[in-house]
Amino acid sequence: MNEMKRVEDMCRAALPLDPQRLARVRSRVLTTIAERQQPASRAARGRPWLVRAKAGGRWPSWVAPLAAAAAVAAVIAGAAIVSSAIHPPARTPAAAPQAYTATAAVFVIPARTGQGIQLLPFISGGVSLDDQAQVVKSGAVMSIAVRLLHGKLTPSALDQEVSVTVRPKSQVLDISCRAPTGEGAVACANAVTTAYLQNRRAAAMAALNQQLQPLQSLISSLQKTVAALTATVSHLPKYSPQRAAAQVQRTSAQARLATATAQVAMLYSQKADISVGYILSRATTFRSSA
Amino acid sequence: MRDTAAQVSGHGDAGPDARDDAAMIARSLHAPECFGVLFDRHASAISRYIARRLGPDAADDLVAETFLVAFRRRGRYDGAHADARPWLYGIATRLIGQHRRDEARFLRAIARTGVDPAAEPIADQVTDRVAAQAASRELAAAVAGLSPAQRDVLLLVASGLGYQEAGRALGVPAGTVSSRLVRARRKVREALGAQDRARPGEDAAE
Repeated sequence: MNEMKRVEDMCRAALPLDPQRLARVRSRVLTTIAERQQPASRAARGRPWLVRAKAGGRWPSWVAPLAAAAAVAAVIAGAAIVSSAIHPPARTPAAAPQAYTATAAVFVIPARTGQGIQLLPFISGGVSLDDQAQVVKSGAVMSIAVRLLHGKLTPSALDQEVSVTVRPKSQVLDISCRAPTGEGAVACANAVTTAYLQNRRAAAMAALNQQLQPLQSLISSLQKTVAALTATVSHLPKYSPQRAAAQVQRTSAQARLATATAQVAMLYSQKADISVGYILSRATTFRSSA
Repeated sequence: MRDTAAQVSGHGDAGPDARDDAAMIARSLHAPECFGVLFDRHASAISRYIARRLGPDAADDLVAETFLVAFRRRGRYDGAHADARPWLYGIATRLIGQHRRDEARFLRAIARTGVDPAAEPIADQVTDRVAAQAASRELAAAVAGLSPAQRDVLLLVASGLGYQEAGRALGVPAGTVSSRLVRARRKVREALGAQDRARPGEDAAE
């Protein structure tokens, strides 16, 4: 086989993007194109006419479309004047302001203790995240997001701009935010996502602290018991039945103390390394949603 | 946007020039959604070309970048050329040029392992697979040894562009394409070793 044939075969063997990936890229390209239209339309649209204007012609070729546009505008204006003379001026709704939407995705992990005890309310069997979607839009999360955005929006106003969807058969929430600018939408979506995770982490911490409190009280009480029994043992005569009984009680208390201490240590280690979810994809692009 | 694109792609009343890329590009100046048709026509081939040169992982980003650059420059497209493939391949090639190190690393990896991540595994038999891997290794090493300009020409022509089209893609005359291709083929032939050199009649027969 000659070298060119081999190189051609090598090129033919390469796989193009599969349809799903290609569709994603298509959507990305067309979304970006759509976003660019607003600022680019004035500058870019006129250029081709200028480039292709015939040098030898009496009028440059861009005159014709301009004249046509002017004629159309004149006709429309005339019709409007006639119409307003016949009918009273109708109140038309103001044009909707341009709005942009950006989306971030968060993967929600069930927060559990080492013994599998569920710390936070979560779905059973990983089927539905509807409750968590509601948590995202809660006042607590919105308040944190407003703080992160350093904005003048109130939590309830921000809530109006945020929407949450649950990806079917997954533990993923898509958090979307609408804003007057694309950058604002991106910042908003990321802030709400971060706020949700901060809030969820705080809730998991609170749940851990709730388990820690009784354990710490128990440890304190057991330490006093052990100390008291140690003092009792030291005052009782050797080989006396009372001393033997106190020693048995002390051994039992020490065992319970060791267990409680181990549980507290484990809860502290979980506090240091608690995982309640993570950002699957930050919002980086936005789309027009006027 | 998709509806308009569908209309102009031939499903609607698109007119006689619906298959003409130049007409579609001109139309996209006023109806940007028409650019989606150009994407549908050529994105698969461009993605194959990019995957061949940089690996499948880089293809998504560079395909998107290729079409976005093309969209930005569509006002300067020469309407005399109905087929936009060379133009798109040219943009993709220039973008690949910004990733020369990645390309070299990709080719070196194939040369070292014989496993080509860009290609589908076709050989079921162990002996065939071993032979295919050996061939991939040799060829990747040979292509890696070319200069960037030679590699561009060789892979554009091997991807199906003619000399004129490759020249349009690279912005050089067809004669330059021809001479670069001759040098590239000679280097690859030499790198592939005595087995190909022993059959000089193949070139003449082409």
